[in-house]
Amino acid sequence: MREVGALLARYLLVMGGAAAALAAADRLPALLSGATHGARVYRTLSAAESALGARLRLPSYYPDTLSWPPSRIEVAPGPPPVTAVHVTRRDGAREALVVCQSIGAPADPPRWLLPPLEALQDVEVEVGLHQAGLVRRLTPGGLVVHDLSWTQGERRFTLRYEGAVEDLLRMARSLGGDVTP
Amino acid sequence: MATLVVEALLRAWRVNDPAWRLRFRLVPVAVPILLVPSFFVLAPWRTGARFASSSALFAGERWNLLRVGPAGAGDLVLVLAAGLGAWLFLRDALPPLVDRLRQGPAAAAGAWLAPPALRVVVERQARRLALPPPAIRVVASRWPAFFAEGHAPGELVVSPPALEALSPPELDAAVAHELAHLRYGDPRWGYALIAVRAVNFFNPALHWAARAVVDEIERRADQAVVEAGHAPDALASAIVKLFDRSHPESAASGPLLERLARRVRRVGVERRRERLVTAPPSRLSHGWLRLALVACGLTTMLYFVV
Repeated sequence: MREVGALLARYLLVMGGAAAALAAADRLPALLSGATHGARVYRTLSAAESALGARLRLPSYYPDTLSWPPSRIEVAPGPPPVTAVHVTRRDGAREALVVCQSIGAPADPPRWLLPPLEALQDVEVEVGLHQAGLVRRLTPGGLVVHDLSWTQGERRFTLRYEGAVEDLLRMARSLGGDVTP
Repeated sequence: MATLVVEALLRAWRVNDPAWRLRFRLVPVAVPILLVPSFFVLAPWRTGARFASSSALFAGERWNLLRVGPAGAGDLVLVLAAGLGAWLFLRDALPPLVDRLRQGPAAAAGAWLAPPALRVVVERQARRLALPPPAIRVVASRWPAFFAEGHAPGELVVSPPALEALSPPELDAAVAHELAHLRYGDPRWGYALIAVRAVNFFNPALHWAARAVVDEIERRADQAVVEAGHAPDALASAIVKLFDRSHPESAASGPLLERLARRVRRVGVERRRERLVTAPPSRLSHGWLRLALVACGLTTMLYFVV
């Protein structure tokens, strides 16, 4: 009986150690990237929507310079969960658009999902029926991007775009819902 | 993970009975060919994004949060692992295939006659192990070849450099070792393992697990030789001689991975030699209980790994 006890004790030690190692390896990427545990990256919109149990609202208009489908979809677990849909340029050079939205309650994207950038100019604009903040920002690499943020029902949207402001506003207005295009 | 868990349990439980070690080692090999497809059929929800985000103990895709250039770290590791797996498979599977193609049908049919002295040794050892004597095939090779093929009575394949390298007691022990493989039907295990590895060529962990199974098969045959009354020293010395002549240091001056692979195998041969000349293995108690615990534990744990 004592022998079986020792056998089980060693078994539990090894299996417990293995489970702890797996759990630690699961948490490590979030720790290293400064993300919340449970944050995930999806390759397709349908996978992200299936995990969230909600449809993502995305612009129906995109400038010709952007490629489709998105390169990746990141999800911060929340609450409320916040998603970031990354779209690259058609020439594949770099990322040009990030569409962030909170699901179920208005919330700004966490810092790891949409890194804060130096603000150069801040103005109010209209996106359909909603007042939105348009901020001109400077990336560490010297590029100028624009952040457009507004709240629409239970979602808060933030679009970061490297390109013409007119295109950004047109994409925002094509998001649908209660927005008048 | 399954291979690591089994390795840790073999050490924690101090399992040194070769037959039981082999059974435990087969569990990680069974994972990709039995467990993973079963999960796909019986628990399809595991592959869904919801399971990964809410229930998984480990989700590989979470590593894509870290970016390496345009790629996620998780995807990159998968691609690199697949490359490593393919290399491990090809470096084991290609040389014998190329040898066979180069030698042609004459060598495959046995171009050389077996020396009468070898025939006497084989018949003596077969009587000792109560086996029918196998056929002997001498292949023309500049490298030492000494292995068994088929199932009892089977076939003993040797090359002249191997026969020249071994002293009479070493030859006795080496023949007994190969006959033990035939008695256990080990060549068939070898073919099955190659087939499993070919199907999972992209999985480096499986190649590692399969290599561990091969080591245990060798260990079991070594033990059978010692139990048949041969001097462990003679077998140990034969193993070291054959390895060193078939993997000369000068031939391993190529790529780093090749040199590393030779060093790892050389360490394995040295461990095998040490095992032979130290104390014999002890019997394992509650073997089936332990095996059931390993299988159940791994099934449960791996269910939550996606």
